[in-house]
Amino acid sequence: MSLVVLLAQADPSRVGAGRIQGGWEFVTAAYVLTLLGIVLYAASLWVRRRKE
Amino acid sequence: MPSWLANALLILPAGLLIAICFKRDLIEIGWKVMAVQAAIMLPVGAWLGLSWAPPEREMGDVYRIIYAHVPQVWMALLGVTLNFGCSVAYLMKKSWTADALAEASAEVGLYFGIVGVTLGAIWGKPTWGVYWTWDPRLTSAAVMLIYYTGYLAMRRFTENPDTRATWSAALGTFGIVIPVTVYFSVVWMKSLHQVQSTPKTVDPQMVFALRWAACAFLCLLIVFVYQRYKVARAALAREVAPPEALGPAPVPKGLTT
Repeated sequence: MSLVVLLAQADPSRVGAGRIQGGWEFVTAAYVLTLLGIVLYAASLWVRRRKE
Repeated sequence: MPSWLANALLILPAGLLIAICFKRDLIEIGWKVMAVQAAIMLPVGAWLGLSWAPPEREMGDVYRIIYAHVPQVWMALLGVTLNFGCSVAYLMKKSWTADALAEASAEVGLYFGIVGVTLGAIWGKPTWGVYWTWDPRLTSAAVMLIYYTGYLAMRRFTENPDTRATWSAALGTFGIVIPVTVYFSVVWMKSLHQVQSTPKTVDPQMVFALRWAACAFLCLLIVFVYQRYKVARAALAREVAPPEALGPAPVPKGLTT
């Protein structure tokens, strides 16, 4: 058994939940950026095709 | 949700690509079908990733970035691999189609790469505590972005279409080393970035949502590459056309118009 597990068993209160709480703002930022990227790149292609 | 259903989603884009290889006329209807499929699949994919898939054991809900980050990095790797194929094809056949497709795939690959790496940085902050670190995977991805930015910049420096196509084909051929390094960096040099997951180690719902998103982005990649290819072909046609001031090309003696 590893040292980390032994320490965790000795004092469980000092061990975190083992899980990241929340973080939806990062998820939202990622999806908004993806959407923005698609819209802007598609618009740039459309503009360039009209110019040609 | 059965995993075969996610694989079946690939039948339409793959089948269309194969059909286009045999019958070029299908391309005009094919890209529209891909655009419609992407327009339907992308919002559904967002819902699958944000709501339908279960939270991850360690990362909770933050891991949901995976459904946007991973497919876009895959598309970046696919784009630059296509660039390699077209570069080799140009060196072998001197085909303008290959040259225009190489330009299109490099730009679209770079676009997906920039978004994918940025999303990775956003994911890194809550999980690693930093937006950026010089991990082998991140470093090789950054090198890839710089390399293909340089590739596109080099195409702008040269006005002669022949020289430009040959130089960029050479650059595109050597460039294949980079996506290979990006993909295998987590295996060769174990570091902070996790290694590739396999369907056996991941919840089936997660696998389905990831494959759905990958298929949606694949359709988008096809649409973007085709539209960018049309731009490149039109620019090339304008470059090689004789200037209007010179009038029509002279007809050699002995030939009738």
